Amino acid sequence: MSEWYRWDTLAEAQACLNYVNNHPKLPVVGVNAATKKPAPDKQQTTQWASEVIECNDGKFGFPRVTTAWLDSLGITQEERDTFLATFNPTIEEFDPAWIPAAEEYNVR
Amino acid sequence: MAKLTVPAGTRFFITAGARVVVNAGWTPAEMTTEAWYDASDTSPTNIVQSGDSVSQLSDKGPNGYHLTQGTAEQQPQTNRTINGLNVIHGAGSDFMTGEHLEYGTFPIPASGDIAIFVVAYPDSVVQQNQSMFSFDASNDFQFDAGNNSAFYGRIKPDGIGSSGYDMNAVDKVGALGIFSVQLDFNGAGQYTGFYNGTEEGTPVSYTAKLSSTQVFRFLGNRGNNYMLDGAIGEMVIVEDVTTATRQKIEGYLAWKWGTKDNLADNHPYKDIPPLKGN
Repeated sequence: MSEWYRWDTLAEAQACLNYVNNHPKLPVVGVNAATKKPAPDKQQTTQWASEVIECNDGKFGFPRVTTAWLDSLGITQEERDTFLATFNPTIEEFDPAWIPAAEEYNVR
Repeated sequence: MAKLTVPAGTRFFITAGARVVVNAGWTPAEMTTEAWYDASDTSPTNIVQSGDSVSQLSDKGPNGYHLTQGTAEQQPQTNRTINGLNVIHGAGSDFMTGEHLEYGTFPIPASGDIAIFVVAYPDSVVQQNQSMFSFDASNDFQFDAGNNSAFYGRIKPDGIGSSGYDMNAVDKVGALGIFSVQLDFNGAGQYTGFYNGTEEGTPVSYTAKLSSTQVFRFLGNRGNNYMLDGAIGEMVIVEDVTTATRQKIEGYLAWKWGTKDNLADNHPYKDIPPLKGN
């Protein structure tokens, strides 16, 4: 299971996700798997997460930005520290119980 | 012209001056595919990645139905091999934000017929709707685990006039296998499933064809909330639902991915791979 950022309010969570999804280093141009050369005409990575999830326990969150992702973007440790200080998320191990029960959510 | 078939590992001698034509191995490039996704071939399939995360897996067939994922935390990974070949895998467990690729406007052939062949290795299952792939529209289906702790294989439809098809209740987690799903609307009016070339379960009759355009999801279900925890090596999608074509594609996949020993003894490609021109 992965870790998530979580907050008590939707506004806090949305502000953080907006910052992440609009980071100046996005979109990311991928590389061709064989040549390792940039493939700007192919699908680019345009955002980290698509939406804030309202959890069953009343909190709001989305999956934590991974170290691998931060490393690939070249985000400095200073910027990582500033990010956490600015948005102040609680970092928690993902719990499937946060997600609305399948019957309520559209199981298809 | 005489044909000589030589089993793998057999030595034979050719007299000087003789003319010998050797047939190359058959691949899906020899037929019309609806789509062909091959994770093992990192060159022509043009897997596009950032780190190990895949943003695009291209269609090697003529239609260009490239699978994409622009959201980083939903991108599957390409840092694993099975039987020496590269695969694409999803973590599956973080459903709702799970890893998958998709093509948003996948046309279903006018006949309504479609066959999907997948080389896959399910790693684990925690929910029956975790899907290897799905077609999402009003008349649609997904191919999912069918069990909350094992991957049996289930064709779960909506809107086509039937309730679903269960493959044998044998867990397929932890093994590389060839899954074949066939929807034959125009002929028998039935759909069915095969595992390593052997039909499992009883074909199910249905009355309405699939919707003409679908969201096709690779590693995910129609609701986009239950993803496969596992790997996919290759997927071939064709309109032709004949037995001969099914067996040829199964033979191609089995020999390529090292699972030929799992084909039934009476499978025509148990002992020799399909060859060009045959």
